[in-house]
Amino acid sequence: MRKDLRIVDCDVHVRELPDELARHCDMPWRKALEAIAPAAAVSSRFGSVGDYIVPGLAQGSGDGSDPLWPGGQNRPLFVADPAQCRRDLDGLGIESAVLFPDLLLKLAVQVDADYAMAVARAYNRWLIDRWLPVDGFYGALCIAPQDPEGSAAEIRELGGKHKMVCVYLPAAGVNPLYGHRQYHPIYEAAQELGLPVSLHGLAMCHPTFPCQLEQFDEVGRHGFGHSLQMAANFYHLMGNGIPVRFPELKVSFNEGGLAWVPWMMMRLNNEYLEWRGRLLPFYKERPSHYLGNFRFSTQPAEEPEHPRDYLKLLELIATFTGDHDTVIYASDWPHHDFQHPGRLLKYPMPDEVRRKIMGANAAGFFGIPGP
Amino acid sequence: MADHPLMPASEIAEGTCSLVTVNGVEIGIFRAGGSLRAYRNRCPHDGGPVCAGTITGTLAQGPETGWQPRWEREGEILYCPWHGSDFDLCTGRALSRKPLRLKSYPVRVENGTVTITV
Repeated sequence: MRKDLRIVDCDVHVRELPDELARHCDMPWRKALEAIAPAAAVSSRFGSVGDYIVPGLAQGSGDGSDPLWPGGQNRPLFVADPAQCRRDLDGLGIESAVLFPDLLLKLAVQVDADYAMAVARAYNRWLIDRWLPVDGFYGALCIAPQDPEGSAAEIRELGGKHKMVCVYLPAAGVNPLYGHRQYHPIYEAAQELGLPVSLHGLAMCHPTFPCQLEQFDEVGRHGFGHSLQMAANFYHLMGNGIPVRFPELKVSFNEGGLAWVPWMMMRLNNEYLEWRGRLLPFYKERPSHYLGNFRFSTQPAEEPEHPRDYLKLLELIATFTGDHDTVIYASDWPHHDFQHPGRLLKYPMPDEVRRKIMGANAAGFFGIPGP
Repeated sequence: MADHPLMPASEIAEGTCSLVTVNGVEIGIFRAGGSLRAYRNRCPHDGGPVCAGTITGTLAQGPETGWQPRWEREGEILYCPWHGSDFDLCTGRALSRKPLRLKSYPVRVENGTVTITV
């Protein structure tokens, strides 16, 4: 790995085992986490993604409704030990990382708002206690979209402290989408503290959105579900004027890759030109002019036939933003589709663009200090 | 450049358009914001018959309206019937599809008659 290149990883996953969260969870929900801990232990032993271990978080893949893949899934997909994770990232040349959960990627489909908020609070305190003391580890503060007021209080209590550098917005199956006014308290709190909100989805196609994608198998869910979850929420944020309502709010989008961004921007600009005065009155200019506080993470980096063509994608995005400050590197370690930083290092691009994408952009966006 | 007397000024009501042909060029005569305006009937976007479009207002919503949707400028906004490109009839400028602008002609009232210079 190049010693002169600072690599800041915007998406690394920690395994939040229920028995560990239970110690930080308020009653009566602590009892729920204690009750599912034995099942989680079995799940972990078999290397399963183990989504079923949190009641109600079972839609989409990994809930037992899919046929077992021929050959099964026997790769280790999670890291539950902070020291091990630090060693893993050292091996990849990653200096700093923003940590996201594993099981709580499905938090948005939990039907009980109180339970969701209690688990989110427990996760945050566990993360601060177990993971954030490690050098180079930074936290994405988990909130429960089902409880915007409780989430806003959590942001004000912990945001910006204890190395919590952003707010994690669970995007898989979230209903309503994140442009809805019910989330304004979350955005007010995040904007007030200067904390980015960071959307993260999952290989899951919730039955209610988008239409007919519930028919996708694992390849369809994983290959497109992430990007479509980002696209759906991106439009909803834009379509409800969030960049104007909260002009200082910083927003990042994870695990959808980049190619959907120019697709969405070009189509949204088209729509604006026809509908501005009736449906998009917030914008005085084309919507693409309002991306200054938005960031898009690379993983899974698109794989063009010719590596040189990746730069064309970056340049296309830069035509909307006027610079290369918008794209941020993410590995998604330790998941099966993680992106080794070496991949992006091999793609031809100017050194300055590489420096920004691999670390400088994210360090500035999340306020991560130098080593 | 020549003056062309067209019709009695009283025929052009606020928020309406009267289409005329002068030297083979179709021109819409509007009254918007209290004044007469004359624009070529050709949308600078794709060439559509812009003057046959809807004369209406526009929605405003943002910090300036306290985030309440507010209908404003009734009779001063023209939507092209082809693609919905919207133009401010008081300036001819596109509101969305910047920096497009309608081709305009000097228009005035002389002895009660709308007169256009083409």
